[in-house]
Amino acid sequence: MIAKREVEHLTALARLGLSQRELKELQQDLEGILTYVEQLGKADVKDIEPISHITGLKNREREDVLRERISSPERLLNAVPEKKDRWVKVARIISRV
Amino acid sequence: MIKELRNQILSKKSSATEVAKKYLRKAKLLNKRYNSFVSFCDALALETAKRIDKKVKEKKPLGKLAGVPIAVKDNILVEGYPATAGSKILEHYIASYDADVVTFLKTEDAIIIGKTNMDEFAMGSSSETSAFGRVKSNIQEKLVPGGSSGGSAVAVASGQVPVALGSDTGGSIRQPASFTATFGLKPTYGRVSRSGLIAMASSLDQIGVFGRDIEDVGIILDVVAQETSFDSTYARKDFHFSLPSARDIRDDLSHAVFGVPKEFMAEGLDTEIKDALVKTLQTLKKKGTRVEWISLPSLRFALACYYIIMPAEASSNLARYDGIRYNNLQPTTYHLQPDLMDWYLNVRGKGFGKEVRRRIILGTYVLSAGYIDKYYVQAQKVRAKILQEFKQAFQSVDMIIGPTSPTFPFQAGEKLDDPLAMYLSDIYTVGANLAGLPALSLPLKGTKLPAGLQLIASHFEEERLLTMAKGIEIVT
Repeated sequence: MIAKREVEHLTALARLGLSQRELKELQQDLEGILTYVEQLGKADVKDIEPISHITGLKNREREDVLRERISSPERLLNAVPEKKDRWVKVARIISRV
Repeated sequence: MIKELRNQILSKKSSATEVAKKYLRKAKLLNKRYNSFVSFCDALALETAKRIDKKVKEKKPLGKLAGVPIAVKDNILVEGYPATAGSKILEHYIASYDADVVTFLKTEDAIIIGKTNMDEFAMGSSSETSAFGRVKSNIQEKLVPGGSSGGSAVAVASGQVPVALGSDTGGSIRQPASFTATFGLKPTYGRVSRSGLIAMASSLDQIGVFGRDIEDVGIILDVVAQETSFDSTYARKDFHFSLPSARDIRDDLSHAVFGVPKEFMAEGLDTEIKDALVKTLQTLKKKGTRVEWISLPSLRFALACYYIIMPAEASSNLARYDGIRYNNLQPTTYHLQPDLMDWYLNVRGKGFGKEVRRRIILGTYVLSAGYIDKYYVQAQKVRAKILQEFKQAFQSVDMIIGPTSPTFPFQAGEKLDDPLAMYLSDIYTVGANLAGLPALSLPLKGTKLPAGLQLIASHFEEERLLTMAKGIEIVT
């Protein structure tokens, strides 16, 4: 039901690099899971609005005022593998055109 | 237990430092057997203890949890300590701030002993997928303690700590509570701040409590369910906990109306668990409680609904783990990758375990163009219907009762290669997450291995949940 090519496409979208064997196992696992969740199609929800939230809360705001920080820029910068001053270094972004 | 522990400090029978040292020592020793902790917070615990002892000496007021050791699931941030979420990709991450719940615990002088082991990124029902080894059940070593909060469950069940925090997205507190004969509470969605909880599925996640005593669970909930401006889904703080007298509880129980969903007692439920549950219901009826059958027909779609919505949200929430933000790879290997895309593929492919990868891909699939309506939007509609049916049920009953999990604790390795079999462990628990309802698992009496009795209450009715649970405990 789900082609290997499709799984490969999804892994690229999700930025997961997998071996051929891992891809095959993933495809098999997904087949099983999708077969199960497919049954949702049987549910009679014709006139129901989809919900994404149950509390019903909307747009909770606060005053745009500076308060105490909960962390520091230094601490966050300490968590990156490579930096230069306060710039975060990453691998080359564009190499293929 | 909390009251006794605090009184020990108040009455100066022990110093907080003695208590902290004792619990740290015991937890570390037992950890060799159970692997329930990923790391310990020695410095924090001893510093807190020192502060408490100073307050006692200076006759200053003590926090509600002074002298009370507590464990925190490793997906909840404690500043300055590792927060791994059971994953290799966060192996070197040191929490950069305190979760709100941790701030609240610290304000009340709780002694944080350590961070507990869990299924990777809270995805699992057995605590076997942790990158740091599985958690072993304290009931029998070869059994699983349930998941994903297995570490917290065992820490409490084995006596390493009297109470612990866990998180519950589809049953991750209630199911391990049922497997370890402890009490496990998942509050109403929006009751407890999620700031500082490593997000899995943001519309389902809630932080909750494990304890060996109902009153302890209530006291901890009271402390952690505080107002915050760091979580815009935090709803309200009108929870005031105090356990009524035994007589008042019995009285409440005898006037209560419990509903048993037909869908929870159908095939798939272990017969020994079913029989024990029926026996408990009969005892309740004798005490005056009205017990009725109810039906929530959409519950048969709850698991499918959950396994579309949760992976979808998780695939989005886990996109942030890029090997750059959270101190993932040491040393860096930028020069080995042609570009950033390769870097991501490599870090994420290697840093996430099998189950996490399954769910990320499943989530990506159900959200992709061409499939989103069939799966995700459909699931959101089913979710709306499930919520509707629960609300309807609560118009005629006070409390919903049933089993927590369909089976007894299973053996390690038994379901690891069969994702669907593993997912079925949560068949009775996911409904409460989808509808945002508070739910609790308490130990069911009359079975050889542990099993849980699940109570589900209406939104924001945790007080009633705790009271009824205590009542059932008293009369059975």
